[in-house]
Parts: sequence; C-alpha cells; structure tokens
Amino acid sequence: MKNIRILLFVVAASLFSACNDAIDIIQPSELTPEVAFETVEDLRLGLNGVYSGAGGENIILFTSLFTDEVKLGRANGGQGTNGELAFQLNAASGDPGSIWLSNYTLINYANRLIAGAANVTPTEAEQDEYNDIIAQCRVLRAWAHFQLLTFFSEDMTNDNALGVIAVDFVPTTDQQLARNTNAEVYALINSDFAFADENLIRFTNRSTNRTAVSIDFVNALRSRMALYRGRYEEANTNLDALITAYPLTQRGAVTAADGTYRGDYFGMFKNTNLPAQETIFKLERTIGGLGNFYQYWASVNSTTTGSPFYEVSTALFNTVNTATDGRRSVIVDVSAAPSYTIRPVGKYTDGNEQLNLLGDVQIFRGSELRFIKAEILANAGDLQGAMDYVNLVRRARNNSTRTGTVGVLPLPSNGAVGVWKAILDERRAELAFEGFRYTDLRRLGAKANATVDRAPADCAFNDACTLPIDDHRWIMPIPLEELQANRNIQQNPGY
Amino acid sequence: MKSKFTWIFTLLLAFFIQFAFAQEKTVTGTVTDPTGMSIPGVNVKVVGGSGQSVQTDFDGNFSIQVSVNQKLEFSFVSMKTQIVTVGASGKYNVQLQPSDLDEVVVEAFRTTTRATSNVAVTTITAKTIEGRPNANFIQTLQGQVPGLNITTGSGQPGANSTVILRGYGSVNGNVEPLYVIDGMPLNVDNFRSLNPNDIESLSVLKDAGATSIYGNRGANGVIVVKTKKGSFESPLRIKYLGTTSFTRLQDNKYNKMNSRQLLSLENRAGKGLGATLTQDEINNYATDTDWYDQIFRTGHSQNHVLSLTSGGKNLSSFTSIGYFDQEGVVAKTSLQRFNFRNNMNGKSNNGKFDYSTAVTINYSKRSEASNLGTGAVNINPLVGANNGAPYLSPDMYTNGLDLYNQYTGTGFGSGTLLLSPLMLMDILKTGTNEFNELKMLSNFQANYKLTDDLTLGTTFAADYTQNVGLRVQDPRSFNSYVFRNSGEDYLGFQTESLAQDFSANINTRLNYNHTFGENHNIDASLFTEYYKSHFKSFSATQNGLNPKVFVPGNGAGYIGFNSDTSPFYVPDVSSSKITAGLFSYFGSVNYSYADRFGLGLTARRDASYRFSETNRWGTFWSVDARWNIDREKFMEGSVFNMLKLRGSYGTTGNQNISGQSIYNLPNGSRTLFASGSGYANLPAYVVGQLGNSDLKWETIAQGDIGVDFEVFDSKLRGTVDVYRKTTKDLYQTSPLSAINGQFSQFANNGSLRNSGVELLVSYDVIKTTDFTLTVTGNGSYNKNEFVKLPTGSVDNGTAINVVGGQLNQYYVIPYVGVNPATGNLLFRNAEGGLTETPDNGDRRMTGKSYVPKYQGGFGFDANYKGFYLTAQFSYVQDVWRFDTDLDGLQNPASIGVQNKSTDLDRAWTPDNRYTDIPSLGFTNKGFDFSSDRYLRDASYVRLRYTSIGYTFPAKTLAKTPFAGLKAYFQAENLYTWTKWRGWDAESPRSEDAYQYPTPKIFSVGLEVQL
Repeated sequence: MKNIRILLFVVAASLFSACNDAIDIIQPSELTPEVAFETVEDLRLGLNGVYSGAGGENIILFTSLFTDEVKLGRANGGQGTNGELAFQLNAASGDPGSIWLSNYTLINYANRLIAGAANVTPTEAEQDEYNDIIAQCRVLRAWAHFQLLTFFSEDMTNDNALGVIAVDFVPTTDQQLARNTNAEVYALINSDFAFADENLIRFTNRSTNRTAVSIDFVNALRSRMALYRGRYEEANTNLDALITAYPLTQRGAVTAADGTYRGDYFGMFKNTNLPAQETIFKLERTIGGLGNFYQYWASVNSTTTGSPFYEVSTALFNTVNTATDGRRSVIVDVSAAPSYTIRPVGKYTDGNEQLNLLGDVQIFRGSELRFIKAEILANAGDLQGAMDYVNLVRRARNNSTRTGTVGVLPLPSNGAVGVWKAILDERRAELAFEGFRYTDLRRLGAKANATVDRAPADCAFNDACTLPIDDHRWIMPIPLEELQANRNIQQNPGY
Repeated sequence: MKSKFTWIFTLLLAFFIQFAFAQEKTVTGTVTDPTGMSIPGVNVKVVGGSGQSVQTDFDGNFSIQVSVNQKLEFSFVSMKTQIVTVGASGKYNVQLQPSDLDEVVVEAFRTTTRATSNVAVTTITAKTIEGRPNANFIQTLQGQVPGLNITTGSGQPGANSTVILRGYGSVNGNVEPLYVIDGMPLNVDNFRSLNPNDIESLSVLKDAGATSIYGNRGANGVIVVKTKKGSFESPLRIKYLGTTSFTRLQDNKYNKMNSRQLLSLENRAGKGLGATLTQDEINNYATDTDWYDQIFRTGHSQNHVLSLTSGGKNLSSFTSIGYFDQEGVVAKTSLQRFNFRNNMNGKSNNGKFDYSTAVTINYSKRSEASNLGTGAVNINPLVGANNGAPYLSPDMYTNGLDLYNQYTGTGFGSGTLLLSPLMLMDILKTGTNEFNELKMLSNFQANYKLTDDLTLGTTFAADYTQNVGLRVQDPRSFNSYVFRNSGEDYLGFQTESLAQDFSANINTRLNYNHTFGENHNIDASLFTEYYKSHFKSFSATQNGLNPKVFVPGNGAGYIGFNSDTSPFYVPDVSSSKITAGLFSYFGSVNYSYADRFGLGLTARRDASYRFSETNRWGTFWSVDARWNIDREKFMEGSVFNMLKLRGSYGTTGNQNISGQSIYNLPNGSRTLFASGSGYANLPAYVVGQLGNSDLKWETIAQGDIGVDFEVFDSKLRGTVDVYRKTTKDLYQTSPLSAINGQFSQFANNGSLRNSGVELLVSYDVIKTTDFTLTVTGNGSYNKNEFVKLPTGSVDNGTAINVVGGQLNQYYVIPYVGVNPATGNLLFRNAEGGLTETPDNGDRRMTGKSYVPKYQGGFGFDANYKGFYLTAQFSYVQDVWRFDTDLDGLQNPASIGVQNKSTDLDRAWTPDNRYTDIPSLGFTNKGFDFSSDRYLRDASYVRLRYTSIGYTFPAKTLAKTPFAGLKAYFQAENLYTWTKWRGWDAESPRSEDAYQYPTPKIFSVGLEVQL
C-alpha cells in the first residue's frame, strides 16, 4: 500500500507540475509593441507598415460608380445596380464605412509608430532618419485627416462646421469621441505639415520616384486644402513654384497601329516611365502587395475580353473620344481600340508588372496644380487666364509636342458659369478614375450649373440618371458602424 | 505479508462458499435475439446471493453456477434486460428483446442503468449505425435523438454535417457538441475517415448533470462514442458486412427551360441567340442539352467491413478492417477510405487490474468540387447545372485552348457567360482538387483496484490527423489561358499543402464506490485532466508548369524563377505552427438510496491557454437528482412499470469562443504586431491584432427536468425533458470607434437563451414470437432568444440579432408582388404603404431564421419471421431560407447567357398584368436583394431511411458454415415532402446557391457471420 501511495503522489505531482505547460502558451513569433520597436531599423520597417495602410482605391471605386464615370459592363452580374448606380447612399452603405475606416486605420498606424518611436533612442547618425520617419507618419496622418474632411465634413469652407474626429494619439478601445470642428482638424493637419517642413528629408530614393511623401507633396496638399476651404489666396502660396517643378507629362505621338497613344502620359499610369515628371505622390502597387486593385471593375482582367462588370460611361468617353486626345488610350483600355465598342476601364493596367488593375494609385499630379490655378483665376474674375490654364492641360494631352495647339478651347460665351463648367469638365476627363469627381461636383456643380451626367442609355436600366446638386448625399453619412460604437458622434444632415 | 494473508483468506472463503452452496447446479443455455441470431457478450448475473456473473460466448452460450429459485438476469446493451427464475431445468434458452430506449446509460466516466441515471442522455446503438451507406456516422443519427438537430448541406462524399444540440448556444464560438471517442475528446468533428461500423454505442449527453463533468468543453452537449470490444472466454467470430450503393440526384421543382422555351424567351426579351432567330428556326432548333447529364451522374459505392472478435481468459480483442468507396453525384467527386481498428482488453488473474487499448488507423482520399456555393462560372460545376443554356451543345467543347479562343474571339457566345458550361466541362476534365487524410486514434486505459472500494484509473489518448491537399490548375486549361498575363509562357499552378494536428489527453482518476448498509451507495471520483495539442501546416504553390511533363502531384515541369521574365514563376509558400492546451481538476459524488433516490454533484476548475492569466480559470458545477417513483409503495399495481423524475442544474464552459477549432484565437488577449510584406512588398511591421485582455469563458447555465416512463408491461416507453439554458459572457462582436483602426472587436458581452421541450416515445404495437411491430417517435421544440446584446441589436444586413429575438433572424423588406401597372416589384415600406423603391429603413424583423424551431423523427420497425422492414422519417418545421438558385433562374437580367425557369413565361406584360413574375424589363431588381421575395419555407418531412431485409433463421443455417446471414435493401432520402423548390430543403445555411445537392442513396447489403 505504501508503494502505491508514493506512486499516486508522484502521478498527481507530475500532473500538477505539468499543468502550466498546457496553459502558459506563447505562440511562436508573437510580436508585442514593446518588442516590435527597439531600433531605428525597426521603425523603418514600421513605416513600411504604415504606408501599407494608405489607400485610395475605395474612394476611386465609389466615385466612379456613384457619379458618372462608369456604366454597366457587358459582364455585369448585378454589381452596383442596387447601390451606387442607384444613388443608394446611407449610413449602412459600404462606401462611407470603408472610406471612414481606411483613413482612420492609416491614422492609427501612424500614431502607433509615432508612439513606438518614443521608446527608441537614435544615435546621432540616426537622428535625421529618425525624425524623417516621424515626419512621414505625420504627413500621412495629415493626408488621412484631410481625406476624411473631404468626404465627411459638413462644410469644408466653414471652420465652425463639424469636421471629423482629430486623432493624434493611440486611442483606447473605450474612447467615444465627438467630431471636432473643421478648424480643429485643420490645426492638427497644419501642425503635422509644420513638423514635416522641419524634419522631412528632402531627397530620398523613394521621394525621387514619388512613392513616398515629400515636401512638394506637403505643399501641393496645402494648396488643395486651401482650395477646398475656399481660401484661394492661400491656395496660391506655393503654387507657381510647384507648377514649374512639375511640368506636364506629354502625350507623345501615335505609337500603335490602332491609333492609341502610348507615350509618356500613357507610361505615367502604366509605371513604365519612372519617375513620371508630373507625379508628385503616388502609392506603389505591386504583385502580392496589400493594395491589389484587382477585380474592381472587371472579373478577369481589364481587356475587352476580361468580363468587365463596369465600362467607361458614354458621357465620360465622349469627352475624350477624339483622334487627338491621348487620355482616351488611358481611360479606356487599349484593347478597345480602334472600335471602342466595349470600353473597359484602363487606367490601372500596369504596364511593367503585366498585371491588370495593378497600376500605381496617383494621389497628386501636376495637372491638378493647373486646375487649382484655373480656379483661383476664375474666382478672381480672370476668365481668360483660367481658360489658359485649362488649355495648358488640353494642349499637353492633344499634342505630341509642348508647342502644339490642338484641343485648345475658346473662352465660353456664357461667362463665369461656362468657365467653371470648362474647369469641371476638364477635371472630369483628366482626373477620371482618380477619385475626384464626387468632390468636384459638390464644390463646382452649382457654380458650373452641372450635376451627375449619365447618358440616357447608360441609366435606362434603373432610371437613376441624375442627382440634384444640393442633395444631402453629396456629403457622406457618418457610417452606421461608428454610430453604433460611439454615442458622442454626430450624423451629417439629411441622413 | 499482509497481502499474502489476504490471498489465503480469499481462498479459504471461496472454499467455504463452494462448500456451503454445494446444492448449486450448473445451468447452461443460449441467448438469442428475436431473429434467432445468437448474441455474444450478454451479461448473465445471479441476482442477489453471490452475485457472480458470466458473459455469453460468441455463440451466445453460457454456463453458470446457480441454485434453484434464484434469479438470473440477462443484460446486454441495446436489449431489454430479462430475468429468469431457475427451476428444475438445467438449460435455459433466452430470447432478448431489443430495446429502443436502452437500458444501459453511458455517462461521462461511468455507466449506469436507465433506472439509476439522474441525467438526460439518449443512447443509440450499433443497430442503427451498422451497414448504412453514410460516410459520416453523424448523418445516420438524424431524426433519432430529440433535441439533436443534424443538418448536412452538401452531397460531397464525406461532407461534414452541422450538429446542434438544444439550439445555438454561441454566436461566434463553437456550437457543436464535444465528441469523445473511447475517452479521447476530439478537437474537430471530422469523422469522414472513421468507420461507422466499429461503433458499439453512441450516447448524447444533454443536460448539465451529464455534461458538467466535461465542463471545459461540454457546453454544447457531449456525444460519447464507444467502439466495439471482444469478450473474454469467447471463440473467434468473423463477421463480414458488404453494401453496394447507387447515389442519385434528388429532384427539384425549378422547371428549367428546354432549348425551344429558352430561345422563345430570348426572342421575346430581345436578348441572346433567340433574338436573332425566327419562330420557325426556334421551333426546329436541333440542340437541346440537359446540362444535368454533363454535370451529374449516378454514383456507385461499395463498402466492405470484416471484423474478428475473440477472447481468452485474460485477453480479448476486436479487430476490423474496412474499405469504403463512394462516388458523388457530381462528376469527379469521390471518397475512398481504408480503415483498420484493433481494440484489446486485458486483465490480471485476480481481476484487480484491467486495461484496454484501442488503435485505429484510417486513410482516406477524396476528390472535391471547389468554389461550391459561389458564382464562379469557370470553376463551380453547379453553376452550369441549372444555368447552362440548353441550346449550347457539349460538343462545342474540345479543349481549353479552343475554348479560350472561342471566348476571346468574335464568334458565338464570345466574351459572355453563355460559355460557362463549357468552361465547367474544362474544369471537370482538367482540374484537380484532392485531399488525403490520415487519421489515427489510439488510447490506453488502465484501472487498478487499490482496495475493494478504491480504484485508480488512467486514460492516455492521442489523436493524430494529417491532411495532404493537392490543387492543380492545369497549364492547358481554359482558366490558365484566360488568366494568362502577357509575356507569361508557362501557365497553370499546383498547390500542395500539408497539415498535421496532434493532440494528447491524459486523464487520471481515483474512484471510491461503497455501499453502506443495505441501501446507501456512494460513488465518488477525483480527476485531473491534461490536454495539449499541436498544429503544423505548410503549403507551396508553384506558378508556371511545363505542360509536356507535368502530372498532378509531381514536380516535373516546375518552371524556375528567372529575373528577366517578370516574377510569374515565383512560388508562393506559407507555413504555420500553433500550440493549444487545457488543464483541469474536478470531482464528482453520486449518492443513491435503495434505487429510489439518487443525487449527484460535480465541481471542476478548468484553465484554458486562450485567456489572459487573470481570466484563465473557470469554475463549473452541477447538481442532479432522481426519484424512482415506481419504487414507491403507493405505485404498486399501477400501470407504470417505470416512472422516474429527474432534474439537474449546472454550468459548463465554452473556451472555443471563436469558431470550432481549439487553435483559433490563440493569443487574442494581446495586442500584437506582425512581420510581413508591407508597402511595395518591403518587409514591414504591421498592426496584427488589437488585443482584448478581458476575454474569458462563455458560460452556459442549464436547468433540466425530465421524466422517464414505461407503461403497459413496458410496451409504451418514453422520456420527456424540458430545459432552459442560458449562455453568459457571449463572445461576440462589439462595436468599436474607427479611431482604433477597426469597427468592431470581439468581446464577452451578451447573453443568449435556449429553452425547449423534448419527447421520445416508442410503442410495441404487436409483439408475438413471429411478428413484432414497434413504432417510435421523437420531437423537440427549441426557442432561441437574445437576453443581452452590447448595442441592443446587431444589424447584419438581411439578418439582425436583437434582444428578445432569435439568432440571425431575417431582417428584410416585405415583398408584396408585381405592380400590375408597371410590371415592377412592389414592396411594403415601413409606414405600411406600397413602394417600388424601398430602402434599408423598410426592413422588418420576421421572427424567422434558418434554424428550425421544431425538429424530430418518427418511424417503425417490423419483424415477421425473419423478414424486417424499417422506416425512419425526419422532419423540421418553422425554418426559412433564401432560395438564391431560384432567384438566378427567375432573373431576367441574364437572359441571353443563362438558362431560366419556365416561370418567366408568366412574366408581366401589358396583356398579363396580374402575375407573380415581374416584367422581363423590370427596373427595380436591385431592391429585392434585401427583401423577402426569395425567402422560402424550408420545412420538410423526409423518408430519411428505409430498409427491408431477411435474416436467415438459425435452423436454416445449421448445416451451413454460417452462424448468421442477413440480406437487405435500403434507401436514404427516398422521398421528401416540402414546399422548397430546390434539390434539397435541408441545409445549415441561410441561403443556397450553386451548392452540392445531397443525393438519394439506394443500397443492397449482405451480412455474414462465421
């Protein structure tokens, strides 16, 4: 019996001592925040992670559907028909949720890295890079806040109107914050810009090939922001210098038998001429990367046989459907030439990586600088001056050389309205599928006496052909998910 | 010295006893079942007195010492216990009657009888499971156990079933019962590799009294499986069981169009081929393809099981080998399986020590259709079945390249989904999607009697599952050509994957069992349990295969990476590793008083690796009691042969709060970064997960009151249970402000309740020597409702979870019908008015969901002179699902590229304004997505199983070498009564589109015993 008791004790003891091995388990490769950021090298890797949170695809897709950039494609299997194409937009819609969340995610990533950096003490040699990493985070954070204001602010031109939640810290999960005023958000953005002015390294490999933020991007964004706020004078501050620094990329000559232009302008979107002269900042997209734009507008690929759900809308196509306009070869996939009966969206076909819908995402290009200038001049009453800037872009797109004059528009006969309309129309053609049309219609629609422009044949299937320019849906609803989580958040009017 | 004395004393005592009862005589006999087949392993016990017992040998023979006027008790699992009083005769042949309500009740760590069990348990025996053509034994349980809802939503051979006991107890965590096979708690409910014919009994433990002992994983009920064993002192017995089966498609009521009908419709709609033909051309159109013939087939299956049992004095064994081969109804799908099992039992001469081992090794190979349930027009074969245009000829398909040229050319059907059926012919010809599974279960159990009352026992069990996958897109397939990138010379890919899952469970226990005086019995145990499991997976995908040498599963033809040619041929690789563990200690006490009252208590402490240190341990307990009313004096002479009232209340824990796997959420309490590929494919640290340090166990508290009864000479037997179980700390999504980078986080926040009633009855209508007829029936009602939710409601689009409502109740806009004025759809808005353009605000709660409120089964068993006929019906009621397949067949948008239902012939036109089908050009199709237009009643009654057979009587076989011979014919899913129009009303999903239909199975079987 005694032996048995000892045996029993041993068995029991071994079981109890072994118990921790079954319940104290750290999985392989767990990376806690403390361990993740210990050196400047770690911060560099962290910065790659922050950039991976930067997206623009959801804005581009929403804009193309909700406004008038696409029509039903020949392989549409119901995509979009009960959503954006029918102007369905409410708190429960996917688009506001996606745009709201992706920008706050970028802000969160940036704030986490900034917080992680606080635990890293750089050597003297590393100090500049250390500061640069934080500056890049802050620029991305500022850009994300600005994107949010663009879609969700009650009225960007009114500093006292409700903006969005300004976040410059790592939040805790129980925080439920009210929206800040526009002024407060602008102040945070400007403080981030000011930090960048001091700390961003001016020339890095990545800023040379335009896939990272730069001082020029900061200044360009300042200009765009001032324009959206209606502060034309402020928008003009750095504009002329930037315009000089970023000459328009030329169309080039016909290079293919089908009449398409595959010169520098084409190459800017196909990532084949790096760095593109005109690009100020773009998001790099790579095979297997995080921002795969694949299968947004088409099922298989972006050629005419790639089963497009959506094709370029008739009205948009008509704005570039001339033998001289090089933008036709970009907006519509070149496989559509020369007949253009099927018109798949072509802007994001990557020429280098041979993959469809994997072109880099352009965030800021030189042509937008000219349009900003045009708006400043139009606002000041210099209508011809405004048209000159519009025509600068048109000439670059319709001629093989800088001196060509094909495509130049005369001064509209109906005065300011006509000039605003010309600016709006040119932005539509030039910035198609870059996520501007929704904001442009809101900003300029009333001035240009224009709104959503869908060809009758494109919208016959559901009769949703236009949307009044004063409709509440030109400002996005705060998404339902935020409303459910945050009892202090305020919804936009009309929703 | 002491032990030696004990021995001598025992011997003396034995001598005395023999001497004292010299009047005893030896009684022999044979035990048979009603069909005359002898039953081995029957326990024959002398009631009272010495209490000695023997077991019948393999021919059903027994021999026992007994004195006149003593009683012999014959008991066997699945048979009714019979008592015979010994008279003058020396030979007693006993026929045991089968019992549908089994006498032996298998509980967690002990076995009781029906009369002395305090808890809610339903046991199913080998009889129900043997010889059935289901790859997965769970499927044979359907409609057999009240409260157990089994739904198989796929006809893929070896497909898993969803098993829900007493309603959904979790929103995001595991909802299925714990399976314990021979003492080994299994990680997953994967039984496609196990041989159902090895199963001796299967017990469904339902109430807290029964499951609390499995506290750390028993929250959703427990199914205890025991496999067959040999008996000691029995000769070799060989049994062969063979079945051959045919599987066929069940019918649907979609009325898809033939060629002429479809072309006429296209003509009217002005779309597709029909729009280009004259009525004459349409009438004379030659091709009329039924795409079912191309996609489906009659599957042939066979099942062979050979088992051998034998036993010596101290050692017995059960060995079985099985081979199972099933073809699915969808072309190219199949399951092949090889099984081996060896169960051994041994004991010491003095009976103080006993042990058993069980080892099973199973290897299965299956070929599956992929992308099921999706609209993958180029991969999911089911898309072509209903939607393939009948005027398309299968002869148009020759090979992948030709099809690609046709698709990208300018000819017939180019660039449209019209060619989808041909793409599917290509995938059926060239695609590979295969899995090999190796599953080994082994366990070792041993018990040592320290004293007469005290037993030390241990169980060591291990489960090893290895899955090898092979998925190939052939370099010459249509899909390879269509997804080819420019400059890419070598196409196709091959993915090989490996997953290994090993778990070990060690249970050590000390049991004390003593009867004080006449009537007081105490049965108490202490346990510790240690569980650990390891998962490892690896996968590699090669992109770019040289078609000349490539063969699926082989690496010849792999194209190497070349930096000049774009990264087309870079292989994708992945690898992962997870460890999980649990530790528990627990105890139970059972007290019974003179078979009249019983009381049980269980308490346990459990720790899971999943939670933070502060929340790791959970405490669970239960109390259960019974009152055998029939034993009371006042019941003497009543019609009740048995009447027992029992009740229990207790708690169990669910630590698998995220999905079914123990490996999910291994470190959810911690905020983690992850190392990976970031921006521009550069190495990066990204936020991997936002931790929730408050994670903890979901706890289910359950109360149950039950009555077991037998009346009219036990002709009518039954069980009634009512229960209420409430899940606390429900793990579910809790909204989070987007400033955290995500809209929601999972947290223990909420409460869900299930309450219901269960009934099980059987009645012997006729019971003579030649003819027996027993009818059985069971039913259950379960009500599911949320008690607490973090925001009061969670809106999931077409479903909503709301306090007071059931899980995933549909939240949809009421569809009214077709607007006679316009031919558009009409809906009811929130204000009660009619509208053609409703919005999300018009959705309403319906009180309907895809989880049935009522379910059960009924059937009968008839035996007449060796012939038998069995039928089992199963039913579910108040269950609603979206018929998305019908939506596709009625959607006019794809006229011209897909086949349609003849329903569209009724479409609204200005001359046909009052109809249920909108006009072919209706403009508000988009709005029916969130309406109840396609929400259908999926209730059904099904003849789940029927079998007719003949058992040859022993007399006939006397001169043959056979000890038993039985031949039968059986059919599964023979007929279904339902309003559902699709192939199968049964499905665990809220909507069905392009799913693998479950088949009807017809089989013939033969059972031979030597």
